[in-house]
Amino acid sequence: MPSQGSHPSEALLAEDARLAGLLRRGRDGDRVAYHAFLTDLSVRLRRQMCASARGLGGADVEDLVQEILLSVHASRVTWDASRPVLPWIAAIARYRLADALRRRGRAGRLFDEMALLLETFDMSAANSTSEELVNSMSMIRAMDELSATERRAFTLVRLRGHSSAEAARLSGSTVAAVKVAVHRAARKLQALVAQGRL
Amino acid sequence: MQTQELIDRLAREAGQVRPLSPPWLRTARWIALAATFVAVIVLAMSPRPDLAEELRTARFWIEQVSATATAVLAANAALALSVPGTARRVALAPLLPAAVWLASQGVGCIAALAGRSEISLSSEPECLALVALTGSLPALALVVMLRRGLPVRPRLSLALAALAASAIGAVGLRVFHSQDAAMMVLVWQTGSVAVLTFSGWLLGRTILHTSTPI
Repeated sequence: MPSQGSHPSEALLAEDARLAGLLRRGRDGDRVAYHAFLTDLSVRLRRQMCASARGLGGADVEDLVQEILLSVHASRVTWDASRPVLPWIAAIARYRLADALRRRGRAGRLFDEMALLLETFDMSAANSTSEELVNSMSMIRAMDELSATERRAFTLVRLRGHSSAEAARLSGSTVAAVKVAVHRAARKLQALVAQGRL
Repeated sequence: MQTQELIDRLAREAGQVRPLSPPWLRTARWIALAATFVAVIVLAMSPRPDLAEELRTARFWIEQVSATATAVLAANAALALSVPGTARRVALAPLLPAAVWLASQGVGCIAALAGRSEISLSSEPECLALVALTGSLPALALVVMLRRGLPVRPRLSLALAALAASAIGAVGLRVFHSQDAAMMVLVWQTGSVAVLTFSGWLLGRTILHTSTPI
């Protein structure tokens, strides 16, 4: 999607005109055109999200695509039909992406650190410096603070990169239960960081 | 829910919708409502007894016109920003009249300082309540109007809305509240506008943020 002030290519202008036409007809009550608009948009967003938010897992990307679609749908009255549609969509997408990253916030940074720590743990036999050993022990201690369900869900989703659906299947649970467990685990780990215990 | 299911549902439920009016038209509607409310408050509180004299001073007119322009341009900027993709620079529009407004009071303060060795600054915290009261309905109306759009910069949008509402509140206050010393107006009236604007910035995300539960 073009940023404001850039020089869009002809292909991008044609794409903008096509999407704008579909949305214009959709706002006039043409459900088929609106369906085509949302479908095209979801493909475009999925591609964009995978490229711009590499820290997000597959299920997170799909959640985000759905949030953006809902926002675009709820605020479709705000688009000025005399202006390009892609910058309008890009602004909504940026807002929702920033919102998602803010929600993960410190937890997101913690996940990255946890992933690095896990790698250190795996390599500790070959690279057993004192710092890595301390990191590994901190990691093990931190995971001990979690319940078995939370530890399993956190490990599958945040450390091994499975989607919530895959984690639910692997652990014989539901997607909602996995999401709740991951959230609770993140909160506990955040608290440990805040207390200086990790 | 799968994304395809969501798309099917949204498309099935989507009917004809009327696009939002352009920001300038929405601003005009807000001005009509805000002016009516401020006029009602002024009449309810009774205009200050020396209003006729004040109307003959240049300082009063400069302050009132610049405060009104600040309110109008801030409201317009807030409403423009409720349309995703609007450049953030529209938020700069109220800065010029706000600078004139502050400068007119600053000049009054300097004149007062030059004329006397000490200037009186009594405590009148009720100004904050009066500015908030006079700007209350305009503020509420702006929040409702902003929520019809999608303020992707909620803090900036609500700060501008609070600036607009409190500036129009300060315009009304000058008409019914007898407080003329430039330092007093600057500290208690314009200070109240600054406090309310900052409060808007702080509360922007809480009040204007819209979540999309799936």
